Amino acid sequence: MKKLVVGTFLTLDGVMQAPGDPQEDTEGGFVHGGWQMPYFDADAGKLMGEQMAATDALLLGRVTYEIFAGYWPNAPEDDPMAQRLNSMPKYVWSTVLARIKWNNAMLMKGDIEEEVNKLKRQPGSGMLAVIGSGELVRSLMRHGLVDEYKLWVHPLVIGSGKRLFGEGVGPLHLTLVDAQTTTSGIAVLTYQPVAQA
Amino acid sequence: MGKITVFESLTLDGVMQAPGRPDEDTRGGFAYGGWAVPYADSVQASMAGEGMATTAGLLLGRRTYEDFYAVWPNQTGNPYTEWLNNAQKYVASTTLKEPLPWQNSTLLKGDVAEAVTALKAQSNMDIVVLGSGELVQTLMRHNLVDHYQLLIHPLILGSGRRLFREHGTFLALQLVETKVTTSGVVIATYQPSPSVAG
Repeated sequence: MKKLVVGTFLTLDGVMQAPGDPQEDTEGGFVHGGWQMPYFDADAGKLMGEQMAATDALLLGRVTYEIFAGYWPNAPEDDPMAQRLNSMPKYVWSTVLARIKWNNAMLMKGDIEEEVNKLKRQPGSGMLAVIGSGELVRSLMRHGLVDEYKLWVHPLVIGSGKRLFGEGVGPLHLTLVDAQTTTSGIAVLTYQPVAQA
Repeated sequence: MGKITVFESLTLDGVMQAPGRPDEDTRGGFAYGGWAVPYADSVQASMAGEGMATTAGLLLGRRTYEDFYAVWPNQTGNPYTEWLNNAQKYVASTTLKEPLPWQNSTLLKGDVAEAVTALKAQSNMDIVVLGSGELVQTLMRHNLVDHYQLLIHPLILGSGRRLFREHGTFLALQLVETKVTTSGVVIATYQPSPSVAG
């Protein structure tokens, strides 16, 4: 079985909105877009590269898909992250998109539990990674489909913006399986759900 | 110049409400009180011990002060009661009147931010803030916190009062240290980032 891993950049107050760019997602009048960039150092790049190398496919919600599909196909061709993201399979959950056009991206329409379990049973040992995609993550959590969380907790408090863990998500007991820090002060925390008795 | 450390138990979703006991704080119908208890271990205990050895004062909001006073002075067989009784306790409240009931308690009068600024200026005492969610909002807003020591517990509750709230203060911090307990609590210590705190 492939492991479904949720990887998210978070602030210390749990905000996940628009880490990469000021224009990425300004919903709700969010003015702090791009907050993650000053912290992305060589350590973070190395960790991210390792994660991408261990990833077979991406699961994305509509908002994150649109951000990624608007950026990565046009990124410099020698960017290894772009090569990887553009070529790997991408499964996109959306109720509003009619079609999608990013290379090797598929629009998913069926029951999430059934579809995700099918993906988990595909051959190969790499992970299924969810990046960003807050709505999709909460849906996966509700269905008990998340096998691991990799939370990149950045050393800042923003005080507004969309959070990964909103009201009503939980209770959920986890096990800390790994904790690393980067020189810029990101705590990269890996958790797995405690097996239900 | 005294230093202020905010020491809080948090869930992974940032909830700080009622870590210690089911009846500690049930506001909003909070039903998970006591959630931090199963995670207590020797790493955490020795850290609390170090904290008590180097800290002479407590700064508390009214609610946490009253809760501590109701619970701790009468306990036995723990390392905390004696320390809490002996520590100098500064209490931020607009409703309490002097004399305060617990020994070594001082009511901070007037504007809290001004009173805490004066307190830091007049002593070299290291002061710890425990719980006291409302007070911490004020301290953060006025840049009066020198260290945050956050005990991040491996669970998500999905409800309850958070340390860092909506419409809160923007804070750029620096990660000073992380420790991991045997139960999976990440103890992360932050201080304001010098480049921004200026």
